Amino acid sequence: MTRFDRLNSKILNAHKNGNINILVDIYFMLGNEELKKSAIKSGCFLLTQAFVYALESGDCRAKEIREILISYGREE
Amino acid sequence: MSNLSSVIEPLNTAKGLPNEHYIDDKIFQEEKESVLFSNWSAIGFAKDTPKVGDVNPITFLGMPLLVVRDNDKKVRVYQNTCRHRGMVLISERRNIRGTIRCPYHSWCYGLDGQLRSTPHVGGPGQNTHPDIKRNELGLVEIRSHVFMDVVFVNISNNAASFEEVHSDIINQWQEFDKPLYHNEDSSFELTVKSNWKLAVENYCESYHLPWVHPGLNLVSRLEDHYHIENTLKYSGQGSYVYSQLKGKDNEVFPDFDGLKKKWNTASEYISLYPNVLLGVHRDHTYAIILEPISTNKTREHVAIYYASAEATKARFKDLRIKNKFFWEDVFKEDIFVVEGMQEGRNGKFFDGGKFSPVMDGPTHLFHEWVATQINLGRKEL
Repeated sequence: MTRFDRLNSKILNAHKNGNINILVDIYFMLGNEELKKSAIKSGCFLLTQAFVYALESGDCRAKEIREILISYGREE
Repeated sequence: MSNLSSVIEPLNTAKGLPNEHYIDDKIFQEEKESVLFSNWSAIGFAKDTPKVGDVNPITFLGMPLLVVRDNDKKVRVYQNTCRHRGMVLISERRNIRGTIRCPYHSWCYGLDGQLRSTPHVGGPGQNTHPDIKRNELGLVEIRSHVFMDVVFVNISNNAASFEEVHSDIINQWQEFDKPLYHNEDSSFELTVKSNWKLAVENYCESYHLPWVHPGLNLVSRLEDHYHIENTLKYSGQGSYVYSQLKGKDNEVFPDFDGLKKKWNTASEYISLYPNVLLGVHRDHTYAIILEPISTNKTREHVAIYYASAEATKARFKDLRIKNKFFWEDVFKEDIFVVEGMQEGRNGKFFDGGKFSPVMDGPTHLFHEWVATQINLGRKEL
């Protein structure tokens, strides 16, 4: 099983179980990894996913993620 | 279009609302707009959203509404519809720790109704767009007001404020304008095969008590009751002989603080137009919200409240259950009457009915109010 398969499986399980924190964890991590590779578009896509779930769950990381997205002109 | 001129005549010569106001789908729709959406209608109880972030979706006459307890602990009501594609936002009662997220494209709204996020709206990973103005796309807030824990809404946004419309009852019952305490074992629902108005009409008069509630004849006779009549606002009945329910050790529920002496033995029951029935006593209140389902189906949501938190604790459980069953039995005794009147309105020669000039004043006031609201609606057409 590749890393991608493992993460994909985790994401599906988190959706199934309503475990939103795990979704924030995974998307935040992957988004940051993409940005480090200068893959802005996919990085911001993944961080947006993290942002939405952080907002929904009242996760304090929402503020940090929003600031990153704003710095890339992707959020207001 | 029904003729309502005879309904708004004085009590002695008036007729009741014509049959079609109970059996005709088109009139039901007309009343939905002119009577229920254009006034302060009851949709639910504040007790059902006790904590910050609690959300309670309620469909009222087909209108999807969302009752929310916001960050300031205030009850607010929104249209439960996303501003993007019209998806219903919340489908079950629950607590939200953060924002309200639309399950379709994840537009997110704060508990204050503001649009907080529009993910990918400008393309993947681009969450803004010049044509998406978030400050113009918040949830549609419905005017709301909480009185005696009942959540009222004015969906058409054309009524005077609740405080203005209902200033008289707020003053009349200001002694009960206090925190109310509820235990979930003191709620129940009844479904009746009747138009919602018949439940109002039956509730606000005492004329039927000796026949429909014979158990009251020795403890609260017809002559012990008085009419409560406030033209174009509310009507009902009061009793001079309320006696407290007692438990097996003669325990009683704690009283509301600071009540006038009158309330030692008095109780009052009013129909607050259009669709809520209220009762007050020295030691408890209750509210019945009438949810109109169709011309001939109504759901009655009943919640009983107590004067202190103590009364909602385990120590009073048996007495609470006894009180709940008492009221449930009383309200069930009324079902055959409202269902019978509904059936009777299919009699094509029934002319709306002849009121008792002495006993039917409160009922006539409700008819007059309904007819007035409908006439106002027709004038706007």
